Amino acid sequence: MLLDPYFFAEQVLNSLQFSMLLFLLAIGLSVVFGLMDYLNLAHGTIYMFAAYVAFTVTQLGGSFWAALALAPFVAAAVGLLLYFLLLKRVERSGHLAQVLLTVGIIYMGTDLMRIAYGDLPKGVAQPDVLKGAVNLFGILYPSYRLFLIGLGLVVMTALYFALERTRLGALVRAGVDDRATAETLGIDIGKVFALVFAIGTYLAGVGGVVAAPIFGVYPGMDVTIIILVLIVVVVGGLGSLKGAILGSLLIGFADTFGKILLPQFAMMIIYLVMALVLTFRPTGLLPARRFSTSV
Amino acid sequence: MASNLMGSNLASMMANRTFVRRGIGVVLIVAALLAQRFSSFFAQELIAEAAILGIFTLSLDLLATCGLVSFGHAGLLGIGAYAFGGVTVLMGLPPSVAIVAAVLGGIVVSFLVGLLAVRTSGAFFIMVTLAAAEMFYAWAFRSKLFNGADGMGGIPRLDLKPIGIDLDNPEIFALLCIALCVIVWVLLELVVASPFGRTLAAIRQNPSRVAALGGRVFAYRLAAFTTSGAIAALAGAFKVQHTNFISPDLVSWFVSGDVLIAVVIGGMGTLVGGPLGAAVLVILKDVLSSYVGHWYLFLGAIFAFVALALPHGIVGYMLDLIGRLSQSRTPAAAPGTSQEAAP
Repeated sequence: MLLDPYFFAEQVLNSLQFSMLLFLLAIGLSVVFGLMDYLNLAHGTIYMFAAYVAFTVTQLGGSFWAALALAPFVAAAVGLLLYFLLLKRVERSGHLAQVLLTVGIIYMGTDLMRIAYGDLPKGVAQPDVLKGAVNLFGILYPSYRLFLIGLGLVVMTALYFALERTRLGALVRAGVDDRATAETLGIDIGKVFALVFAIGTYLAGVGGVVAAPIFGVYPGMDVTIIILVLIVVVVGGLGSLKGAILGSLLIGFADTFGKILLPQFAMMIIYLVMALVLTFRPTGLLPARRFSTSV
Repeated sequence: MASNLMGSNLASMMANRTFVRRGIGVVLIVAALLAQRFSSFFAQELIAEAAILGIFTLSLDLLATCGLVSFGHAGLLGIGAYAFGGVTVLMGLPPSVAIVAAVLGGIVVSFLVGLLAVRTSGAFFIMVTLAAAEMFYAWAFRSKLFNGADGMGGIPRLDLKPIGIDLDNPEIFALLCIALCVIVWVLLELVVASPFGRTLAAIRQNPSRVAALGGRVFAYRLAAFTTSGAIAALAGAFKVQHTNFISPDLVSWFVSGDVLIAVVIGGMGTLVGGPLGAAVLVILKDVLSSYVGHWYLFLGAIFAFVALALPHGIVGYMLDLIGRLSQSRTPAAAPGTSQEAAP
């Protein structure tokens, strides 16, 4: 089956497309983790929330593009609100208090969406422009999925330049590298962190909107994705863009090809990949620095 | 001279904290026995559930003693559960043999997983343990032997009728579970106070320093993980005796999350906090689910409140409070005294 070059190429594209979605969530989580040592499990809740906002926008007659323009901003606003109202308060209380708080937020978020929209999955239509398929060297591939791959590449490139070439990027890298020294030099890591958090939740929001036409919108979609994203983050290594990219690709491919080769054990393959990586690289493939990994 | 005074003060503070922890434990035992004595037939099931979850939390908290937090403990619970089910239902052997098999299974599997897992720590350890448990879940979900996702019923309880104890009576089963939880707690209090336990605590506080002093961090962590696995498997063996049923749900990460949350609510690193958190969680879930429609909304709100108000859990809060009170009496009692509760 995999020997058929067309089928193989199609699966490679599928893997890429899923990797891009994982990346949109993983980068925010990874940098937040790297910068503040903050374990924010509620990152997936923002993703789910954005998907529901997108659903509402399209329900009200707005286009997919309107949803894509609007929902991530709403997501980032809600993310910042959560940050200043709740998350910030356990910044220094350790991972466990953060887990308890963010699991609490996940429970609340899921039930609030249930109350507002019901238990059944909702659909968001693909934009008209991207409804067809594109002929790629003899493979008919859905344009929407191709758009996702392109979007992921654009975000990756933009983030690369933002991190490597701008002043804010330098501040973020300094903070991830050695927070105490950066603060001694007068950098307000708290402000940098709030901005990074906003960008991270914005991208999670983008992820939620673009995932909606493919996977649907339902309560619990946050938990489904967050486990995979956490795996991406630890496999890639904390706090680094390259790590998040590599981790997303590895898990995206492992998931897609796992489902083809061993349909019943796809999840197992992902966990096996993670176990293997962490056996040889206990802090992930490309961590921004050697993290002190005390809980 | 001054440092000597400080040292003895510190020692008395530590002893004080241990005394308070154990005191809370005794109060909890009395409360559990009173609840068991005076509550309804249905509440017996809740008490048994809380006591079994209590055993499970103790296993997780022992591991936390050396600074490791597992997010895949349901896997070890599941090993005990599936071993017990396999030995009784599939092999037709008596439950007493099955309990031994479950604990042995827990020891072997946690030793093997530990060989890989305890090399990592922090968030990485969390993810490796989650991965191990999810792999077991994937197997259990597809297992033809154990009826896959549908699960397998008809799991018998330990037969103590020859000595006049009928465990099919919910009141007696609840009592047995309380007793078992107390035994595990007492044993772990002894372990934590032993040189082995002190070394684990030292590893939690500063693994590099212990290694530099010649302590075998890996071996100690592996020993803690294996002991923890044995206790988790024991909890699993009693969990399935309680429900008479095994299914992959036992191994799902929600179960790992529940036990972790119970420990965090009670206070990680305090031992007694686990069973206290277990009782709080079981009661909360029961009350909320019977009176409120969307009860996860309220459960989540309570979790968030506990995380904000009591980041070191209920017992951690009490210990901090008592620490502050005695500190205000004896201003010399110095920093570092709140180390024990803070993981």
